[in-house]
Amino acid sequence: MINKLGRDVINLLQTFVKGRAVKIVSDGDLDGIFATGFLIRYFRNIGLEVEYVYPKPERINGMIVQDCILVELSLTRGIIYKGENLLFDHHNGPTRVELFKENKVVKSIVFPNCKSIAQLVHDVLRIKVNKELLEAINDIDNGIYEKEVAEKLHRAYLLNISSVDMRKFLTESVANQKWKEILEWAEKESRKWKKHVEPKIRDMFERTYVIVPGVAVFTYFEQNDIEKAARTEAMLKLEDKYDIVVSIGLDDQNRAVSARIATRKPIDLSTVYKQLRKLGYTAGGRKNVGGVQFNYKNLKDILRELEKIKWPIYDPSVDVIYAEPSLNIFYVDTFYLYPDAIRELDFVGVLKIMKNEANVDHLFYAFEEVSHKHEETKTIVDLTTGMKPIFWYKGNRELNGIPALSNSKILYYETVKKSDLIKDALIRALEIDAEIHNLIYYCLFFLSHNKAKMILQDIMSSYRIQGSEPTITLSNYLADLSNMLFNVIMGKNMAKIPSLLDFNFDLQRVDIFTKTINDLKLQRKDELILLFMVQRIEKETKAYKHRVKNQAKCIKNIVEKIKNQAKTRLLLLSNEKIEEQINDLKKNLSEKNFIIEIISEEDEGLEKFREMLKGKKVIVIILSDYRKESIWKILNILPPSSCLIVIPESRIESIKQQNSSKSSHQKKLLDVKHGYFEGKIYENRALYLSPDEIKKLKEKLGVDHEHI
Amino acid sequence: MNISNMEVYFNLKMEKTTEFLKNFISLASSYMFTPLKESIQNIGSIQLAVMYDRNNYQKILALQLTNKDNRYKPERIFSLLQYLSVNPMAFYVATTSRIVKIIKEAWVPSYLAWAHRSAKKMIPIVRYCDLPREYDVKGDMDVVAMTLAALTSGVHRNAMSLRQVATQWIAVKLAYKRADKKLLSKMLTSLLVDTLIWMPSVLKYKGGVYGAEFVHSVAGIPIIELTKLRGCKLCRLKEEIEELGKKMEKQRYESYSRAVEFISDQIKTILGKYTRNYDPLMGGLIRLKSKLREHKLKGKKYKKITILLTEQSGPAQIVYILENMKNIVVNKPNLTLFYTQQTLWNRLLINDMKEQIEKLLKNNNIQSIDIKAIPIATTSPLLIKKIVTTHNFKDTLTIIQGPLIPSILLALNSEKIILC
Repeated sequence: MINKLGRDVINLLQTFVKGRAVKIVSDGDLDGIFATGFLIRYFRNIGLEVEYVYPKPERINGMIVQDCILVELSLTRGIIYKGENLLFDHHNGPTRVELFKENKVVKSIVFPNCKSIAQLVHDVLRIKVNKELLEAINDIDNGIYEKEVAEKLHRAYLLNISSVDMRKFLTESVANQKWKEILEWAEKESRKWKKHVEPKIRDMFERTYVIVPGVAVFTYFEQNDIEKAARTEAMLKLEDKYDIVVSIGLDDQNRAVSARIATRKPIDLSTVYKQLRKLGYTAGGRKNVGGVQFNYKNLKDILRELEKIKWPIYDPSVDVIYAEPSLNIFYVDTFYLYPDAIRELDFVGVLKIMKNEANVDHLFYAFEEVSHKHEETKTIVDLTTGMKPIFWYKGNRELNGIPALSNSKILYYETVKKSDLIKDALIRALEIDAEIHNLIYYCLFFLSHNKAKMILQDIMSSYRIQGSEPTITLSNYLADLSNMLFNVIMGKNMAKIPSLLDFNFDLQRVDIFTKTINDLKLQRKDELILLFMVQRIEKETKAYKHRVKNQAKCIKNIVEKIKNQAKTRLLLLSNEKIEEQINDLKKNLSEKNFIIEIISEEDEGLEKFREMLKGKKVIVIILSDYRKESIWKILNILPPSSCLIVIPESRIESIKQQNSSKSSHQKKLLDVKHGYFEGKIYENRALYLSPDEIKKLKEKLGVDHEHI
Repeated sequence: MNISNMEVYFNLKMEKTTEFLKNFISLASSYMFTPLKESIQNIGSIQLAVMYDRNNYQKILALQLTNKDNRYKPERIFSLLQYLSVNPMAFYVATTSRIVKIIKEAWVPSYLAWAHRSAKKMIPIVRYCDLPREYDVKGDMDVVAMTLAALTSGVHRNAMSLRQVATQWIAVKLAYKRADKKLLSKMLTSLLVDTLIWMPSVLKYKGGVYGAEFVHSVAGIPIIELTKLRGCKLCRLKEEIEELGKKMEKQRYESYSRAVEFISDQIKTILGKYTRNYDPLMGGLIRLKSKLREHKLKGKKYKKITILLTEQSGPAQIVYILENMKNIVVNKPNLTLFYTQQTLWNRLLINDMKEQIEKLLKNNNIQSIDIKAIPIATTSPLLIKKIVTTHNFKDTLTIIQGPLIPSILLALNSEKIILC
């Protein structure tokens, strides 16, 4: 198709130049210079010597042209066409070659979009060219400076932007196909960049200010080539930060000469040019970049007019990329005794806010649904604990007593939808552990930015484990969650969104006591010692009675599971510090018709105790904690058929059964298991050491702790 | 010294305000805030006093901050401290502590609301009470900040832990040759008086939840017993602690360990007259040393040390461990800290004090330390097992203390262990 159109252009060109002294009048940018160079080459090839000129930008407005080949100088630039003129352009419309009679188009050849006008002229006139250079011109014309040649050429051009000699040199070099010379010149000139231009760019950054949100303006001196060069670079950098950037060129009396308006967002600037034209200025350009001539007007007046313009706004897209239902945050101090959540949040999530592919932001948010009349107490907790801002959804409920809160309906539904996907898997996963999950959110809500970063990094680096079993999946999920939230607070791009969707398997629920009976190969004729060691509770505390009762209940549960499996003897270890508590515990048990023997560490002595355990099968059960020194001693004298169980007093656990009549997303996922355990006890709830592990531990204790 | 019911404990003046405020705000807020240098660099000088109102069990931190241009305008710092004093997430929270700023322009309308709200009646007392002669603080800002955070923290588990870590750190730093012994002794005395006299008094008064919470902390028993002291016995205990302060100032210490032992012995001797012969503040370190000494670890030089942190773990514990193990540890050891939710702040503090720890250990042939930290749960055997078994324990000496389930799993998987 281009061949046919190309022939049409050549015919048009040849007809146009026939019998008249034509002149090429071109825009002075690199695209214009190269297009002019190609035209000159073509005319020289057919034996014509054509004059060319690059008018200064401020002279274009009002300039009269006749019998000219115009490159990128359309009527919107303020130029006046007289007689016949031929225009090559790709601004303010498609890429085209048009024959004008006065200001009327009499013939128009429209091309599919070309990257530059130089590319178009090159394609239709079939001029030989250095491809690298032509690509660089295309890139520069489209604001892309990633390739080295494009960057150097662009910088060299900017540094000599007012130079007539530079344009002449480049045009002649293109016409005479001296590509190497052009490249050498670009190399030489661009070396000056760092020294002269970069400090100017920094100055311009400091001079920049926002006239309306998203639109930044700075000024530069038009007659200074270095300032001009810095202007383009500064604009490019500022376009990352602002939606639209305007650079206003000043003369030596601080009057506004012209301005360039540019954006890298998907914003159409045509409406801006239109408004400027209505104000009496010459303005035009492409959708994303254009210019305006102010004709030496007072800068303050210009700024006032710019403020009044209705600037196009780009609406970013917002997406919920992660959401979790019902988050309980527990205070670290009280976590493992009688924990109570500081705050239960209905949802937490991460929003992705996108301006364009290159400009993405993330926001961590918490969501609260007003579920009953007493929600105002939560707002007080949030204020006193310094919780980060929380979105509220009030639905149809009243908000009496709560200071004006938002009602983010759409965000609420999106969050519910997203969090429902993860809910079941999260319940299963948190059954293994909820503490590190809590730690992540505790850090985020209650630690300063850099300290939270540190803790999240700790989790990221130590919880990334290879494998696929449930604990490893949870571990990797915690690492991914930390990583995502780390990226949110650092403002970095999101590499991976944590997912628990693979967590679709149930934990293997092997009762520890079934395992114990198997591991010890327990038979009815065996003599079994159940040795209980319980955590000390200070008698003066209010919780004393309740906690001793809990200990008794736990001992009873365990004994009932085991007692019929062998000839069982129950022992309760005591020392001088917990004597009273042990007596109370015994009394409590005897009320339940349980007889348990108390043996004192001091009375029995280590050797005597060893004798007592000799040849027996032993299960040591530690309720929560015991004096460490005594634990190591007991472990050291255990016979080969022994195992050990440590049962924590309370822990945060996920709620497995969802049987409330409320809609599912309103329910708590975590709760505190006060006391020890009821029913079966699994490996994820208590520590179990098999006889082999006891043996291994004893070896370590024997070697490393020989002085016990 | 004693006007109305107010007892002014000390009166400090300092010029190196940035370092003090950075440390103090971080610690007192339980790391909720880590102030940027820019936000505190305009403070020119700080004068502060700690006071006790014995009748109301109130403790007051009186502060006078002046900007570098000698104007009293650090409103934000005051607002922050006021916020911390009521925030349940901060160490600083205490129903018993209040912030008072000593400003002459208290009647100015902009201050009026604040004055009504917080401390109107306190100002004359502060202004006219007989402040002890102000002490110019030239260095050891970390100690002053830690002590102040500990002294102004309330009655809760973490506050006790902060007092222990601060006391241990002062004891260690007293043996450092460039230390300001007078200041450090004063700080240590203040902490002792606060922990052994003020805290039991409040505990007795508050009882209930506070009492229950306290007995679960490592230092519970002696503190509870001290609540029974009254009248002249309390006065005598206070006098003895203050005497100890003077003694510490004059004492020469051969090593950090010796300093800790000496001070702990002195505390034990004093306390022995009133309660069980047990030092709730530094007892943990002394027990640790006896465990370290039990091991005849010869020959091999360990490149890595792994420590399971407890609530008493802080910079002093690290210095103490490394000083006592200098013969078996390389001069640039890797330190791995296993920590739980309860020891979160201990982990952060050790990290903050890394340079200080290295400075103190230079004479012990420890050039630098590389700190890595791994959070673990306290009650999830399956997850702890996974994390512990994937950790590389080669050439590692593991010091096991603290919560039982992680302790056992670390002991089972480590190459070389010291059980504490």
